Amino acid sequence: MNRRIPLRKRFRVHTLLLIALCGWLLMLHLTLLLNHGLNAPLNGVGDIYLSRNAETASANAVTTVVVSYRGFDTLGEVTVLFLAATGVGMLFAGGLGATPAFRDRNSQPNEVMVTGTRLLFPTLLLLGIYIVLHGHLSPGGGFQGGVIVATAFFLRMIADSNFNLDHAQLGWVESFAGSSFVLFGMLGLVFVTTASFLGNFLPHPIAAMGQLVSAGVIPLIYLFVGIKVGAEVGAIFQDMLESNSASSAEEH
Amino acid sequence: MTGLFALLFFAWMIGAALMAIRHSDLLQSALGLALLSLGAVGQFFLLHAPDVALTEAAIGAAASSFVMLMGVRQLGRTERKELQ
Repeated sequence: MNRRIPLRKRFRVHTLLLIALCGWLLMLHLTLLLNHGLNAPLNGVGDIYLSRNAETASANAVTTVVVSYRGFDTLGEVTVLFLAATGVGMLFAGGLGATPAFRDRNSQPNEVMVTGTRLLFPTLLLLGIYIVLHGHLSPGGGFQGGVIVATAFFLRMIADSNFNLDHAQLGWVESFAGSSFVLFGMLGLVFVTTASFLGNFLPHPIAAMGQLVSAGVIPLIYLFVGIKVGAEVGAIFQDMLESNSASSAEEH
Repeated sequence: MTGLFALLFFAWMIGAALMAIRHSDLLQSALGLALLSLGAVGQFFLLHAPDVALTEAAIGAAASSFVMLMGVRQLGRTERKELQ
């Protein structure tokens, strides 16, 4: 019975190819971790960035690349996130709420959630702000810290049904941060000493490397990125929660 | 030692991915995805990329799991076969 079916129908070729690809990636990863790759001499654009990192006086080389050398790309990424937030807002505003069958039994948050959030909210907020402000010193920065702050507010929104983020205020904060980002880039273009978009026009002595106030314009720009990302992700969460409560109001 | 940790994280990630696929309870599936991201955080850390690890922890493990959980809350916990 089985022999009449051709071979390519008995095996799912796509699945096999996918498994082979996964296995190859795993082997690649393992060789990279176990033998070489970590200590091998790098050559290419990353090496040049690392050797030139001292000129920006930012202790975290990744932040230098993200904000300074590839700052224009970061502007693009923030714009993509803004468009995503807008898309989510439009999707949930247009009558999708009627179709899903809402099965939530209790819309009241339970006690563990409320008490845990009371403990976690200030800690997460502090961690997020710390990560944003120390983006040029330690791993992390505007994107990560902004998402952590938004997550803290999301926990707060779940635990307290009266707590809501105002969309108008979020929009104001977001446009302020975005405009400041572009403004700082333009200022870098205007000043003669840098004369390039997002140029580091503030003083950034190498002696101050590793201190909180160092690297000139980089921490300021990352702060604006953090505010913008936090506002956008917070707006996304707020949209989802609103659509959720709207469909629950229809149900009950 | 690094290789041992890498293998451990691989086992962790594969287990979490299987959990995400095999479970019929969608809440457990979303939890499996969050655990998968947590394994990826460890991998990125081992590869000397703490920035990427932090991004994965914030977005992959926390924010996207929240989105999944909101979806589970709307659609119900049980997997409906007629949707497939």
